[in-house]
Amino acid sequence: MSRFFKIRSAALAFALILLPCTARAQQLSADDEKTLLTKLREQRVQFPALTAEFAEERTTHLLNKPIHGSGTIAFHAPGKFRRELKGSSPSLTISNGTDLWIYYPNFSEAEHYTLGKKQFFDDSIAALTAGLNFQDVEKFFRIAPSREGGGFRIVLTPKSAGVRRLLSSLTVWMNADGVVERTDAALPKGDRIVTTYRNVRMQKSVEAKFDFTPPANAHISTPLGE
Amino acid sequence: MLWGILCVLLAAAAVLIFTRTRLSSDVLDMLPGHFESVQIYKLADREFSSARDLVIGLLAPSDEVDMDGFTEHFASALRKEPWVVRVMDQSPLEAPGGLAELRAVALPLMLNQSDEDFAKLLATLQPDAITARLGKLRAKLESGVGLSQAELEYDPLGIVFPALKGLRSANLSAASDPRFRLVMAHCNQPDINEHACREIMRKFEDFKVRVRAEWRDGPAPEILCTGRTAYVAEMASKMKSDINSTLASSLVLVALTFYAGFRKWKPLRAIMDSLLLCCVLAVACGAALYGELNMITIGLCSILVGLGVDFAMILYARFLNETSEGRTREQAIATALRMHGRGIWFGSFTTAAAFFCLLGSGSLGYEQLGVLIACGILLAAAVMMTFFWLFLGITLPRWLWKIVLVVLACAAVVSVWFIATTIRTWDAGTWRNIGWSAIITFFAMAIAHYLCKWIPLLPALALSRPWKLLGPSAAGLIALAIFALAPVGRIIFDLNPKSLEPRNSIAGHALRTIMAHVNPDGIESVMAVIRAPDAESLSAAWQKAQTAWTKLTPDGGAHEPLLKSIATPAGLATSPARMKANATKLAAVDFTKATAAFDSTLAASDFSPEQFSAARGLLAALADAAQGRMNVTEWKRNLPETSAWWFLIDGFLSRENPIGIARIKPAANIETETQAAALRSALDLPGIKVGLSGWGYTLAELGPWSQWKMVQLTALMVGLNIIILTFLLRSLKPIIILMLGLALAVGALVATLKFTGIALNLFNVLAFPLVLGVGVDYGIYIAVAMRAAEPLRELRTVMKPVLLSGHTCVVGFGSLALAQNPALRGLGIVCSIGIAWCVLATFIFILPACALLSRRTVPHGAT
Repeated sequence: MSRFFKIRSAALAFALILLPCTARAQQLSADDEKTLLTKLREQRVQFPALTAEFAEERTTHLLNKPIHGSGTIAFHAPGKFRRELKGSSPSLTISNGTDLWIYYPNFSEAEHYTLGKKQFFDDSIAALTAGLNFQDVEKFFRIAPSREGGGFRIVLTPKSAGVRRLLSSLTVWMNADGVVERTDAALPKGDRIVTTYRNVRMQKSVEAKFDFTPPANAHISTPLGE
Repeated sequence: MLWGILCVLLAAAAVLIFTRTRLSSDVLDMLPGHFESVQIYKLADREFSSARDLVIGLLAPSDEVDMDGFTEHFASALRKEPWVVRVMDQSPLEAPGGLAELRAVALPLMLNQSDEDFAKLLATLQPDAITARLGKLRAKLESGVGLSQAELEYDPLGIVFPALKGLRSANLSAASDPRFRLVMAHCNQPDINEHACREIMRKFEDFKVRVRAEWRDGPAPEILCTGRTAYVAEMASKMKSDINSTLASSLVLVALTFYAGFRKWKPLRAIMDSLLLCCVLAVACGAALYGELNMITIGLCSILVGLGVDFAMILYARFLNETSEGRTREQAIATALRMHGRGIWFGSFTTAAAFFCLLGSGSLGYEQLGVLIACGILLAAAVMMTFFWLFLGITLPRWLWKIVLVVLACAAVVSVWFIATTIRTWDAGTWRNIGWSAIITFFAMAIAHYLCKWIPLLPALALSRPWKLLGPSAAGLIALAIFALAPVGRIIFDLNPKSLEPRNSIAGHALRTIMAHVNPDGIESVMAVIRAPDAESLSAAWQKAQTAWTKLTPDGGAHEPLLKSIATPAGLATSPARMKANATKLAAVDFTKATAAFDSTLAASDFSPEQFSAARGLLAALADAAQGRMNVTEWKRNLPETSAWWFLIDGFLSRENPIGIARIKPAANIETETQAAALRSALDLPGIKVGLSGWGYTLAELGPWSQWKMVQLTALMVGLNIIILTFLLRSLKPIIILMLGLALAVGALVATLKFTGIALNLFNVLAFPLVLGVGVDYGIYIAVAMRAAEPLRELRTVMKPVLLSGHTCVVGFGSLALAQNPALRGLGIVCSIGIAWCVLATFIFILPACALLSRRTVPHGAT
C-alpha cells in the first residue's frame, strides 16, 4: 500500500487518541489564553498523567450509519499512551514514545510503527498534539474560544494545509477547571468523530503499561517499513 | 573595384547570416558524439518526455510559510495554465482524478504479475475471499484506528497495492524537510530546441509572479525551477549576452590598446572597420558551413578581433615608418606588403592550422570553432592586406563627422538613462564584471603605453649583449619548466558537472538546492538504458536486469554492495505474452458471482455502495480482460495526458519505442574512469546491451579522453609548426630556437596553472594546441626581421607592432573570461595566459637567442 496513506492513517489514528489531552491547552481570549496556558503548563508539570473513560461516535463516508465504541485511555506526558477499545471489535493501541502498536485481538494481528523516522508522520503528530506542552498550539491552530454553560467551548481550526488534510476542525468542550468533557473532530470527506469523556483523572503517574509485546501467535505488520 | 567586391561580400554575408544562422545551446553538442554515454544522454532527451519536464522546488525561508497550503495553491494554479499538460505535487493517487486513473495503471500490472502472485490474485477474487476481506476490514474499521479506512478507500478488494509493489515512486509530499516541497510539471512544448525552451521559461516566470501575488495566506516560499528546459533557456539567453559582451569588450580593449600604442584615431577606425568585416564574413562562413552555431562558437568574433588586429598593426607600423621617411602612400603600402606579406601569410597559416587541429577534437562545438576561426584568420589576413588600405584612405566629410558625433551623443544619453534606470537591479556578477573590465582595461592601456616606449630599445641590447638578456630569462623560464614537470603541486582537472554550466547559473543553483533536499547523500544516479526489438524482449530484459542488479544492493543481500539502490522499469515494462496468459486464467473466476458477493457484503456490512464504485469498475475491467477485450500492448493509451501517473511511466519507458531507462545509485559517486569501468562491468548482462550515462559517469569517462586529446593535438600542432617554419625559415637553428621558446612558454603556462590553481576542464585542455599555433607567430616576425639586411632597423620597426599584436591577442582571449559560458571562459583564460608567456618568451628568449645565433653565423661588424 502507498506509504503516504499508511503514514496519514497512522498519524490520524495517533492524533485522535491524543486529542482529549491536547484540548486542555486552549484558551478563551488572548489574555486569558496566556493565563490559562501558563496554568495548564504548571498543571501538566504537577500532573503529567491522565486516565479517562470514553465513548465515541464515528461517522465515516464509507458507512451508512455511525459506529459507536467505548473504552479507556491512559496518558503520560510527553508521549506515552494506552487506548483500549472494548466491545465486539476490540483493539489496543499503545505507545511508549518511540514505538506505536495497534493490536487486534479478534484477528491476532498487530501493526507496528516506529516513531521519529517519518518526518511527515512526526510533524503531523507534533501539530495535532501541540497542546500537550501548551507551547505551540497557536502555531498550528486558529483558536476561537467561547463560554458555553458552566465551561468553555473552543474551536481549533488548522492553519496549515498539511494539518487540514488530517483534520478540518476540532471543537473541545471543557469544564470550568479546564478538564475536557467532549470533543468533536471534523475530518476531511465529511467524516466526524464525537467523543465524550468521563472519570477524567489527572495524576502524577499512572499504573498503566505503555510497553507492548505482541502474543507469540500474532501476525505483525510494519506498514511504514522497518 | 574593391568597393564593388566589398558590397557583394557584405550582401552575400547578410543573406547567409539572416537566413541560416541558428544558435544551439545544448551542452551535449560540446561533448564527443562517439562516446556511448553521450549518445545515451541524447537518446534520453529524445525518447523520454522528462526532457520537457520542469522540476520545481518550493523552499520556505522560515516556519511561517504554510508549505502544504502554498503547494496546493501553486499546483492548482499551474494545472490551469494552457502551456502545462500535467502536474504532480504529491502521490499520483492523491492527485485530482488519481484514484479513477489507478485502474488504468493497476489492471495491466495485475495481469503482468508472476504466476505465483497472479495465483494469489485469483484466490483473492473468489466470492468467499471477497466476503471475508470486507468483513475483516469492517471489523477493523470499528476498532477506530489503523489502516483499514485507507485500505477500504483505495483497495477494498486487496488486489491493487500488491500489483503496484514493483513501482518505486518518490513520495513527494513526505519530503524529509518540512520547509521543502517538490512539484513536477510537464509542458506542452512542441520541440526541445532553445526557442521552445525560452518560450516555456518566459511563461513560467510570468506564472511565478502571478501565483505569488494571488497567495493570500502569509509569506510565500522561494520558487526554484530546473530541468533541461530551464537549463537550455538560460544558456541560450546567456549565449546571446556573451556574444555581445565578448565582442564589445574585445573591440573596446583592442581599440584602447591600439590607441595607447599609436595615438592615432584614423588607423584605429580603419582597423575596427576591417575587424568587423572579418567577423561578419567569418560568421557568414559559419552559417554557410554549419547553419547552427554552437555555444562555444560564439567566442569566434572575440578571438578573431584579438588575432586579426595583429596583421593590421604589423602592416600599419611599416606603413608609418615608410611614410615618415618621405615615401608616398602607394609606395609605403607596397613596401609594407612586400616586407610583411609573407610573414602575415605564414602567421595566418600557422594560426589557422592550430585552429584546424580542433577538427580532431571529436567535439562538434570545438570543430565548428576551429574551422570558423581558421577561415576567419585567413580572411583577416586577406582583408588586412586589401580592404584595410581602402578603409585607411577614407576621410569622412565634415557633415558626416557631425552626424556621427550627434549619434554618439544620443547613444551616450541613452546609456546614461539605461544605467540610471537599471543600476539598482545589477547583481553582484554584473558589478564583478564591471570591476574586472575596468582593471583589465587599465592594465591593457598601461602596458601598451609604457612598453611601447621601452620595447624598441630591446633589439639594441639583444644584438649587442645577447647573454645579458638571454642568461637570466633562460634561467627563469627553465626553472618554471622544471617546476611544471616536477611532481610538486598539481594541475587541477575539474570533472565536476558544475564546470559545464554558466557562471551563477540559476537553473544550476535550483538543481543543487533541490537535489540537496531530495537526494541528501549527494550520490548521483547513473542512467542505464536497454533497447529491445519489441515489448516482449524489453520486459524479459528488464526482469533479468532487475534480478541481477538487485543482488548488488543491500536489499539483495550483497556483502559489499556496489549499488545503493536501483529503480528499474521492470514493474512497468509489461510482457504482452504473460498478460495474455494471465487474462486467460481469469476465465476461471466467475465475475458475476464475485461482483454479487462484493455487493451483498457491502450491503450486509452497511457500507455506502457509491464509495466503492471504483472497485466495482475494476471487477468489470477484469471481466473484460478475461474475455480478451483488453489491448495488452498499448494499455498506456487508456491514461489521459493530464494524469500524474505519466510522470512515473515516462520516467522509465519510452512512449514510441521499446526502450526503458533505470536509475542506478552507486555506493559512491563515480569520479574516475576506473570506477566507471567497474560499474559497467558489474552491470553487464549476458546477451543484453546496457547503455550507461549520467553527468558524473560521462565526465569520468571523458576526462582521460580529453587529456589524451590534449596530448594528441599538441603533438600535431608541434609537427605542423615545424613543417611551416621549415618552409618559411629553411634553417634548422632558428626553428629550434622558436620551438624551444614555445616549449618554455608552455612550461611557464603549466607552472602558472599550478601556482594559481586555475582548473582545466573538458574544454580548456584544447587551449594548449591553440597557444602553440598562435604563440609561434611572434617568433616568426622576430626570426624574419633578424634575417633582414639591417636587423636592428627592422627589429626596431617590428618590435612595437609585435608587442601590441601579442597584447591585443592576450586581451582578445582575456575578454572571454568575462563570458558566462564555462567553455568559452576557460578557453579564454588559459589561452590568454599561454599567449602572454609566448609573447614574453619571444622578447626575452627568442630575440636574444636569435641575436646570439646571428652573431655566430654572421661575422662581427658585417651587415
